[in-house]
Amino acid sequence: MSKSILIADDAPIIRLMLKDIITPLGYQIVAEAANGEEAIQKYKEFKPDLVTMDIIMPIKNGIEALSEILKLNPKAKVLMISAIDQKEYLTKAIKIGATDYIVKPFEEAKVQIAIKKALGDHKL
Amino acid sequence: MTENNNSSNNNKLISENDRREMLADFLIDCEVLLKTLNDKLLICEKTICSKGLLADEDVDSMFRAAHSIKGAASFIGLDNIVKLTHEMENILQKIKIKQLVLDENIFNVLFKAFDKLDALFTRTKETSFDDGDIEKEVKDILNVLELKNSNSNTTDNNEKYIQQYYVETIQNIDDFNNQLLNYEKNKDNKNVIDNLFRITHTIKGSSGLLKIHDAHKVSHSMENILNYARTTGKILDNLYISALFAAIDIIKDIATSAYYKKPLTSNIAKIIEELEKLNLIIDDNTNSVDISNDIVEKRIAELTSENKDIVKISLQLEGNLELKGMKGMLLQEKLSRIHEIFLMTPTIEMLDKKDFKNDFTIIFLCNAHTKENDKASVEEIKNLLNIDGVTSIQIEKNNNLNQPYSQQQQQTQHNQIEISTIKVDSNKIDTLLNLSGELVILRAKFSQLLFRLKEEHLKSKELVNIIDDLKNKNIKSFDHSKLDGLDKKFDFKNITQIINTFDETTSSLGKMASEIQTGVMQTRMIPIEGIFNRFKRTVRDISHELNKKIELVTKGEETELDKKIIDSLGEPLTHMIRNAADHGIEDRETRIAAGKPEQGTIYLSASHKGNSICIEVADDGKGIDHQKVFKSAISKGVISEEKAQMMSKEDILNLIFLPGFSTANKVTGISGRGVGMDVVKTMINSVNGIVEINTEVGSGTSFLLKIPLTLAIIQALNVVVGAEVYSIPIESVVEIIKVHPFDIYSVDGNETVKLREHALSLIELYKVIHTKKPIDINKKIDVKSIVVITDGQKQVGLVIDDLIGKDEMVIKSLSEHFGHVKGITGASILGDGRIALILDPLNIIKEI
Amino acid sequence: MNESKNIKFNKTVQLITKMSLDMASVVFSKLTKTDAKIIIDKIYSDDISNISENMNKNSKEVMASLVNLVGDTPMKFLFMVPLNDSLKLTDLILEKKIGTHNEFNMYVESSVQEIGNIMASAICNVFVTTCKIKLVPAPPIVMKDFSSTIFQEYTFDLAMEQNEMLVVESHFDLTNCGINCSLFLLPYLESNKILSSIEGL
Repeated sequence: MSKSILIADDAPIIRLMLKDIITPLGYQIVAEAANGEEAIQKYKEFKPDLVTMDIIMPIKNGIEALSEILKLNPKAKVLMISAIDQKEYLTKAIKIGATDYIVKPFEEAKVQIAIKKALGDHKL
Repeated sequence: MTENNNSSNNNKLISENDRREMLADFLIDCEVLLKTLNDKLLICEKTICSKGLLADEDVDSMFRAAHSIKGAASFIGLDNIVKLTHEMENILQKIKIKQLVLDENIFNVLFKAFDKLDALFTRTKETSFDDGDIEKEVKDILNVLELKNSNSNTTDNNEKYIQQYYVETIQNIDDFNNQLLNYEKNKDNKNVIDNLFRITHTIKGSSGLLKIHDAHKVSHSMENILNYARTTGKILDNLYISALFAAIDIIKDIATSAYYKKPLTSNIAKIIEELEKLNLIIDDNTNSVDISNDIVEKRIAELTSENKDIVKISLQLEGNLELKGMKGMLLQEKLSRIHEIFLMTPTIEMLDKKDFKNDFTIIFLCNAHTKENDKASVEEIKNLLNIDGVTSIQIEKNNNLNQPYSQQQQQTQHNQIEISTIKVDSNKIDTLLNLSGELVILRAKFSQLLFRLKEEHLKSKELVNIIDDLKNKNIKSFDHSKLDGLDKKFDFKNITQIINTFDETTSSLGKMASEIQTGVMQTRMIPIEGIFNRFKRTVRDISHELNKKIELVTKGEETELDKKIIDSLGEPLTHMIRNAADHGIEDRETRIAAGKPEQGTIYLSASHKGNSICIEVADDGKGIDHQKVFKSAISKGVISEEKAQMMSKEDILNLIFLPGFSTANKVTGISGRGVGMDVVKTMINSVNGIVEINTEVGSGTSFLLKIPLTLAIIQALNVVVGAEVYSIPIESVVEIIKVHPFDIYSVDGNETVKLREHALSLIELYKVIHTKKPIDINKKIDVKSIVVITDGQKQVGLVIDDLIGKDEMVIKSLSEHFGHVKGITGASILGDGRIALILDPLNIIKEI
Repeated sequence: MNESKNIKFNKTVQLITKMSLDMASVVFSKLTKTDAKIIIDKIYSDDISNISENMNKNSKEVMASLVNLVGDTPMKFLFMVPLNDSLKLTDLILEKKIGTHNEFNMYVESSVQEIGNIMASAICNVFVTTCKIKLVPAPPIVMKDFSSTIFQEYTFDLAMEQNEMLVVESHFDLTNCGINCSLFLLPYLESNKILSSIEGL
């Protein structure tokens, strides 16, 4: 059974890009969310192996969503998606317990490696 | 009169007559020794005034003079002199081992003590007792010694180590120079960079330990540069190499000034500034986030001593990561949730700060036990830290961390080497050498005693014969029974046996003394390789300076020389090599035009020949044009035109050794000391060596130095002239000839003979040196024996009366006691106790 | 309010601004996987009326991303791409054949939105690291309209406060694609004062 992934980003194009990048890896995109609140909901519902979380989102931002999800499951794997200048948010995310992060604009290969490593599928 | 009571105790052991005799000897010997002390003290005074360096030999000879006086005085019971010289000896000893620096104050104390000593001596001459009050002088000396002790109890430790630091650092500097020269030629060699780094690291360490801050700073900067090359594999360009050469020279200066307690001669601030600039370039260019290995190792050591179990995690990360500091923080965050972190380098701030593009490394030191008190699992840590951007992870646990691998390797290597060599203070060897020399002399005395004993033995044989005769004759009124007893009492056979054994033992003693002496001399022999290698650096520097391509080719590096000689060869050889590079080797265009290879070569070779060392300095340059020398000499007024006209080509060439001569019109950066070959010749002569020139215009020049193997023992030809025995060093002897009176003719008032196409001037020794005129000077002898001697250039015939033969002569430090006696370099003792004066052929020939 | 006519960025601020534009073009290139070259960049100040007039002259239909840069030195950021080109951009971003997208759906809109967001982030980043100030992009707004209209609406509040405007104008050309887009960076006058007076600049 392939591993499941939840994509949370308020920009449809980004969700689409990520889908295109992740699907070839053999993982299943089980759900998408366009804001933080939706992300939390979908996490509860699908319990994915990994979440890709955009930081800036309406209703609840990625940091808050991260925090809630970790409360639900301290071992949750969440990959933050950040723009280059969002250092403060990113720092917060890291301190709360984000698994890793990638910076926009991203390269396909890098995103793939980051996701595989987060899922423990890329050994050194 | 307390002194007398003490002396009278000693006098119980020796009779009044003996005392008088010994006193007479003492007075004669000490007259000379006191003069030595006086002379050397005056030299010290001059040195202090001019803020120069006190020569080790001068201090040494003062020490030995005081020591000898003390020894002799103690035999006779001159206690005041003994006490005073003992204290003087103490001060001189401390100055000798550099625990005390001779300043004005100490000099005054010493000189006053000497004055007192002189007064006591005069007193002894007059009254045969050394009455006098030495309290003040002794007290002053003790004050100095104590002051030194109380003041520098903390620096005392430093003093102990400063000498070792100096010796080791000089060795390291030589190694460094060699390695850097190698690197300059072949930059591919990674081992060389590692070696350079290691050497610099060692220098840094020991400098830090002794708190020699400047050396520590400079070596630290050098280490940075070398570490950069070492870890990135980048090649250092000439800018860096020049800076490293300059830096190692600075370190040499600093070490020398620390040891000799002299101020620095170079401007270190400038070099430090340049090094720092280069360090900054390195920082900017690349992986400036330098993991300071020092810090890591230090922390490991600290933690280990606190009995903590540690894990060292090294992560390599991609250089193109956008938010490096962030990545570092993420790693730190993840790790710290499970393990306590003791050290992270570089820190997050450092990662954030600079903008670099290279792959980089982060090192964590953390507790081997998790926060839940489980043991760390290498797998788990790897999985935890394997995030985007991390390309590899290495994890090491406690045991391997205590000593970095490379250090361990070095240790074993070191141990292996240490088994075969030990470092010995050269002062100790000097002492041994002196003692072994005395042993040889003692043995000669034994021989002499044996000789006399044998004479007595012969006489007693006579006596035995007479007794036998008497026994056989029947003389009335003589009680024969007495004669019977005599036989038994006087066991002639026994005495003969004893004498034979004595003979054998003396022989053995002689052999042993010789072997000990040879053995000790061997310890002072070191291969000339050391200074040859230094010259490689010199040639490299000069060729850069003069913009010529010059290579130094060496041969015979394994040739061993006495250390003293090597030390005194340094300057003359440097001088000659510089000359060869500067004036000998032509510039590139000239060489190519002449059909020579663009690169000039300087040859340096050393070899043993008989009792001498031959060192050749040759070049394939333009040679010395004797006509130019001729013209230059005349124009400089060094020699008159008439005299010059009469000179042969060799003679003209030898003019370059005259002071005031130099065809070079400007001083080209030569070390500021005396310019000119005259200085070289003087220096070579001072070790009893000679210099020969061979040159061909257009092809090159060769200087051949011949130096007697040791200063302490020479092979000499012993001859008799008049009433004295003279020893002529074998190197100076060309041949021995016999001439008939009619072969002798007069030129300019000088007697001359024709020797195979050359005119040979003859000299009568009394005309040249201070010696008695022979009694029967007017007696015309049929055939004269002539010893032809040379100073390397000229030849002269010495008229002798008798030839004794070749022998090994021990020159003792007696030579210093003679000061400047014309024509004599020293004295030695023949086996029969006669004194042989050692001739100085150079000075004698000069007189002609 | 009477501001003087010669408001200018000082030399250093000009340099930093240019650097930020360079950064913007870099991220733009990365996102579209093409080479985005800056063909014009100008830094000037003018009367608002003049600027409006110019915009009117060259008005065309565009898709725009409006991002307010918030922080110590607030600025307005405006990214505009001709309507048809926005379709091409979406294709490029998704690495699809040009012509794949033919309607202005949420993907096209969010492409322009993201471009604006990412470029604004890059520009903020440069200012932050060089001037050590706080500056972050607010969530972007996407508009589809005539460029002059968009410009006027966007700069309405600026016009209320100032008669003049500082404009950083840049036009990009995506090589081999024939796509031209424009970018406007409009700092508030106060912001320029603050930037110019930062020590060490």
